[in-house]
Amino acid sequence: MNIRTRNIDAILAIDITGKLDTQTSELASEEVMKLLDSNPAKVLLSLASLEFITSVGLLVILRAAKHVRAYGGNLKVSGARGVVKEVLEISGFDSLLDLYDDEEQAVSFFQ
Amino acid sequence: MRIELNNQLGEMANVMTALAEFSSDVGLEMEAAQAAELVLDELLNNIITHAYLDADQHTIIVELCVSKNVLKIVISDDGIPFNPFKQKDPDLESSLSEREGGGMGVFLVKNFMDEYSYQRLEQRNIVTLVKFLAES
Repeated sequence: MNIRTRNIDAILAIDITGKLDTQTSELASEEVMKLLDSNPAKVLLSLASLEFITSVGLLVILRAAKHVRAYGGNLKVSGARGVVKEVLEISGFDSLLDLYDDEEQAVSFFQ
Repeated sequence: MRIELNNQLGEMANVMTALAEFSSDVGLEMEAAQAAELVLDELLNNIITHAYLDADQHTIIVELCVSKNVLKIVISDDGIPFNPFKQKDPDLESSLSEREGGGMGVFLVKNFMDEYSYQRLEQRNIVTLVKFLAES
């Protein structure tokens, strides 16, 4: 599991690579929350390189989303595919969060 | 495949390595291999985290087999009596602020497996999961 960041204009893009499961999610959550410390107004969680996710991984995303919402920021999720997309949909995360198949779409929807 | 693990989250890595080898050895289709990985992560995490009231070492047993286009997984532990499938499903209609993490794991297990059942036998919790495989 790896976390990298990029900037797309004023958007902080956080790329999560690998798997979010019991073995990786605690560390992932710490790293993501550290990145949100400065309260970035626009955050894109890019899951394009995320191969696999379990419910503890969902909590990483949920925790980030709640935190961003709490300080009045905007968080979107893009690129989920395969089993990751399936898990997000079964869990109702597609209605809970702004989910986009691709990054360009997500970026265009940030105000 | 049969693997025994101690009730420590650090043991998860061994299970997943064994699962990957098993999946490769039997040529398990990707969808089933991922489903197996998911349900093992969810259920073993729950057992290790919640099944024991003492600080002792316990043995959890995981068995997988493929036969006649069926993948069968059996997980057993000697923890407190607990049927994971009796728990309430999470409220998927709840809002972001209301949404908590609880219950998601078992809910996913139910969705990714075709059959699931629980029994309590000889002081052990036994969870049996079945996934139908594509005709080969």
